[in-house]
Amino acid sequence: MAERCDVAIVGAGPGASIAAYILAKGGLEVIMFERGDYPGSKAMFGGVLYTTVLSKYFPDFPGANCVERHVIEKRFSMLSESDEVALSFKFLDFEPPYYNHSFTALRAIFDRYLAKKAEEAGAVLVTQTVVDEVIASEGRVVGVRARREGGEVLANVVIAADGANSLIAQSAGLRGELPLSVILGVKEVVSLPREVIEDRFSLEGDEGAAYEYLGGGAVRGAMGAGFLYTNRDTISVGYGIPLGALKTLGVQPDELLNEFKMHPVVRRLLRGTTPEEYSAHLIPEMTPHDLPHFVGDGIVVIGGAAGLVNANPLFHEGTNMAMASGVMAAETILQAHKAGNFSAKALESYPSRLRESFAWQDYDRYLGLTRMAETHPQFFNKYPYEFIKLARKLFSVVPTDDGMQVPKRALELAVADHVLAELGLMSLGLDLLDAAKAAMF
Amino acid sequence: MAANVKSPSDIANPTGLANFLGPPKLLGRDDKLATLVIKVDEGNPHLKIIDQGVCLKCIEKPCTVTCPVENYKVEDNGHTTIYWSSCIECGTCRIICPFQNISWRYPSGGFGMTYRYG
Ligand SMILES: Cc1cc2nc3c(=O)[nH]c(=O)nc-3n(C[C@H](O)[C@H](O)[C@H](O)COP(=O)(O)OP(=O)(O)OC[C@H]3O[C@@H](n4cnc5c(N)ncnc54)[C@H](O)[C@@H]3O)c2cc1C
Ligand code: SF4
Ligand code: SF4
Repeated sequence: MAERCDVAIVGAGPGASIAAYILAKGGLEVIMFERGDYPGSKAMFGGVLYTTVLSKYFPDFPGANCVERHVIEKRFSMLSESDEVALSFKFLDFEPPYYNHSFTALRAIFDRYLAKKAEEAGAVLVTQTVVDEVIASEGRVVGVRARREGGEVLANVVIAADGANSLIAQSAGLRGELPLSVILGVKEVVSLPREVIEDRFSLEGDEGAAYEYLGGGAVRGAMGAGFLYTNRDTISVGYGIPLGALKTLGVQPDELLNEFKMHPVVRRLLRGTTPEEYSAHLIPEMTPHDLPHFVGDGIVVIGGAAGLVNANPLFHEGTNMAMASGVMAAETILQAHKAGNFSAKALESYPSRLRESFAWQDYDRYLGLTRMAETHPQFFNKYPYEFIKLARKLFSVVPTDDGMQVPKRALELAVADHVLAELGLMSLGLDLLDAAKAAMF
Repeated sequence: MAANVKSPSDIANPTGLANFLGPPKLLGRDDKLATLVIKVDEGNPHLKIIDQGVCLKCIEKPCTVTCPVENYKVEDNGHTTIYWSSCIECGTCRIICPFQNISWRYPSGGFGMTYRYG
């Protein structure tokens, strides 16, 4: 006889664990399957953890050693091969303990913390166990098939919380193949003593910095972005690039990471660092057309598996959306449990609540920006370089033959000439209009 | 002041800032892999080429330039080999292969790659 439970959850990432916690608290029997040795052992992200949802359920998390530093500086930078133009936001007056709800983190540490909370609430965590597919009967999902002796587990509802590469949603027929718009993230965690990090990045105590590097010289002008986040005594350094763009670039991803690390601007921040761990993972960036159905009979899809990320030049969010969707899915299942009905129709309040929340609205709103980036490669392979050239022209201090200096007026004219000759006012204007439209609608 | 006299900041600095001013250490593909704990399920490849005939006709061979640990190599006879035991389970090759010619599944529980940081 196959084992039975109320809810079988595939994965033990942030989305899974918070859902398991709420369901177990609600008195349901929950089994969470994780293919790794421990939660977080197969997971990687940039990463800044956004803790809005987390703090409501686990207000004490900042003291639990599960996060690294709270972010006080967000810096956006454009790189050419040798130069940088950057915009930095420093916010020093957000209040403890949550500050701006942005904490750098490492997944092998954080995911274990959250899964432990679910276990303490009564959920059962089964590690080192891959779920290969859902069990279907008469068109509805009735359980999961794990790859082990006696691995069939029947459940009223299955939660597909298996992340970007969701084979579970696919096995349930809720989605097709992933598109080439999904992003490959490649990163290294490099070590540096905490005092040196604090000194180098101008941080006090547990303050942290999040630097984003756009287009241009970050990833050879491809549509993609580099990042650098300070942890306690390590730095997370890496980049993300859509598979389609990576394929066209034709450079080995591990070499591209070394190139980014050795960019003259980035290299200076990484002096004296030693790589501790290399990693790579997909970010499920896709259009609504490629998204899975969020519910089926006896199954719900959450977090990365549901394609819920806000990944574009401005934002890199996903952990918060995973936890939010986990909460909404769990609350829906608790209601369905009371009613004793687990059909797609009975579970429908999960997607409808989701669509009213930031998790869907942010995805939806910034979709335009991401699509715009895809159709306007010049924002990555041309404008960063040109913009830096302009800044360089304007800020160059140029001697003249007679021992004096070129007047600023001449530099301004050179800038104006460059804009007219190289960029073309018309096409630049149209591109900026497209960008503004994408950002606004 | 004589050149060999230590400046007060060198003496006072407990972390020896001077020790952390050299260029960042870079690792090649093999050394990057060596930073990871990988338990190989000997004899049970979780990745397989379905049909070498399809690879022979595949002109772009995108698997060879997108795997983050360079696990795909084209041999002299034109066949494509997967070095599956050093797979870090990212899922890229499954999506990038234009002909869905890779049979792809996760390594069994207890095997494959483990992150200590993530
Ligand atoms: C490079 C990169 C940078 C990112 N940066 C950020 C950032 O800075 N901030 C942010 O908020 N988000 C970021 N994200 C996005 C964020 O990581 C995801 O949105 C989030 O992790 C999704 O959480 P999840 O719980 O849905 O799934 P995941 O975190 O992907 O967890 C899935 C879990 O399921 C397990 N699993 C998968 N399949 C199976 C199976 N068949 N059987 C058993 N177990 C299985 C996995 O081992 C894993 O533990 C980034 C992602 C990447 C890749
Ligand atoms: S991309 Fe697919 S078909 Fe082409 S060489 Fe690689 S595995 Fe073979
Ligand atoms: S899953 Fe990722 S690491 Fe493994 S072989 Fe495919 S591309 Fe390489």
